[in-house]
Amino acid sequence: MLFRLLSAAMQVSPAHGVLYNGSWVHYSRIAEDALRMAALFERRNVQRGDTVAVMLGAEPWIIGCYFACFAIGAVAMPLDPKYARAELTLLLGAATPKVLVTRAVFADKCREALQTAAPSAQVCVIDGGEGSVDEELRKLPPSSPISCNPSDSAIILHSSGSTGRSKLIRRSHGQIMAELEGLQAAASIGADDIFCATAPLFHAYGFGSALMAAIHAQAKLVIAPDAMNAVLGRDAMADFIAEQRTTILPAVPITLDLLARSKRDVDFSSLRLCTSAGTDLPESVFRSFSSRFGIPIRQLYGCSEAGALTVNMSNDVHATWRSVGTPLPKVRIRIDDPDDDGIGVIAVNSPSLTAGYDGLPDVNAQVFVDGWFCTGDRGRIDADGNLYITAKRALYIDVGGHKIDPYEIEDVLVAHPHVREAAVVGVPGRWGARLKAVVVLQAAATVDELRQHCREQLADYKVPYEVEIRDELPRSPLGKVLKKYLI
Amino acid sequence: MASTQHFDDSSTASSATASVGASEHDEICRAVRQYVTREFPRGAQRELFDDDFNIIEEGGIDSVWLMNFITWIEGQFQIQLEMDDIVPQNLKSVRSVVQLVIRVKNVAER
Repeated sequence: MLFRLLSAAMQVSPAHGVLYNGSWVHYSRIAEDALRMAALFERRNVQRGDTVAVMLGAEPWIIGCYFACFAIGAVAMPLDPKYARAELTLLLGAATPKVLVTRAVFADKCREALQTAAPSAQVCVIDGGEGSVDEELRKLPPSSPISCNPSDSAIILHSSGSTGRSKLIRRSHGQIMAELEGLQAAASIGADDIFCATAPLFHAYGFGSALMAAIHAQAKLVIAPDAMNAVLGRDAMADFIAEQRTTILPAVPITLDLLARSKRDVDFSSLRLCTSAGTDLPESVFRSFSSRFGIPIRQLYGCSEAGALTVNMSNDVHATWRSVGTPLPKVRIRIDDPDDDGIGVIAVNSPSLTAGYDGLPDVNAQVFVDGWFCTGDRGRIDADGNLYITAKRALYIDVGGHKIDPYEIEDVLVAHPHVREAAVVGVPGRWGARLKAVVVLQAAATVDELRQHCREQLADYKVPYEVEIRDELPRSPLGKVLKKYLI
Repeated sequence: MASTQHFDDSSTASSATASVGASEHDEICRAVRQYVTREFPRGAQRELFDDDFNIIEEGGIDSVWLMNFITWIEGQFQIQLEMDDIVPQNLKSVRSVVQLVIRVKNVAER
């Protein structure tokens, strides 16, 4: 089902494709590579419904792997290349992929994780070295896409993942199609559009609102250079967006902030839609970006469970910019248990919504009720139907555009034999927050030892910048940790 | 609150001086080298480190690493970096960071 999007894009827009590292890779080439990769998966006994893990950055091969899976009914599971072995072990253990595709630089940690997580899984390295499939891919005849059902799983995303708390989020071909149709209708996306991917393609936002939205619309996709290093690459990114005559820019607030701070004299007049998602958009960023480039940032609301749900397409966005907008077609939003100000828990009903988390029936029974997903976020809807988010679910800490679950890091710290208790908070910084951990020890340990322990278990961006050792954590009379006294 | 211990190594934080002398230069250099060596992303070839090792091109560092590095530089040396300072040529190596710190400290002292 989803593979047809790529077939249609190459037929309708034969000159369109993905710009990567200065070269255009046409959709026909991506489709051919995807079908060769699909043949490679089949050789490794990947069958319909089997999982294929993919650890690649923003590059054409990640697209090839997604569509290889879509072609044969396999399920793609993208992984952040920055994950540490312990995070990978848990995620791969839960998903038990048949195959993992990666680059040589990440292959060793993937193999180590698979040894315990999924020993029979095969690692396919696309760029040489041990497990290289480079030569085999070149020689293999392409596979033939099968006809997938809307209910067939297409992708497995996940919530934060180094502990038992992580959740696997399975979305089907039909659910992804529903999201793309909703986005296209709401934002009037067409084949003339040029999307710029700045968010990672292994996250729900970059996957749905950039990569898949572009291919669904048979539009072009340009991958920003140095996307992982927006701090130092802000000038190059600004130049790139302008030079490529980008029309649609899905981004996170930190990227938009950095672009607005660029000293380049760039012309963003081609840009017609710039969306911000993932975390709160600061007013200063909205104002500076608008005044600098003459285009307002429009907030988009979504989640890994359903993809994009609302977008602010208001004609008067300067008045409503704080709103994440109105629901996409076929999406319904409900505010449960509203208080006197109309603020309550946001529940969503959408044809793009996952059927539930893998293997968590108790959690599913609580948050997926009668077709509605209780997001846990809080918000209100104004008289014009605009949704405003007032508080995000859990206590995610925004660290340089990464949404980090403090519990994940607390669990890792408490797993250290010398740590009795730990609490993690975000200390406001220049861009979002930086992580601070406060720990109570039960045996001697140094800050360096604790950070090294985190470094072994977590992606680098999750390692606390600061660790403070205290005799006790500040608590309320009811025993709740008072995080405001930890900063 | 009882004993606290922070990641920041305040023992090397420089007090304000009229200008940066040779010994302070060495202190800054030692602290930056120590930070970069300790914090370098996993998988980097630590044995390659010298003061001209290009940590941006060869280190696979990301935005969060850089933000933490910038926060550390500001806290450690009690300086404020402007956006104009946060450019590749100033942050690419231990040597360039030391030069940046000295320049900003000297400007602040004038």
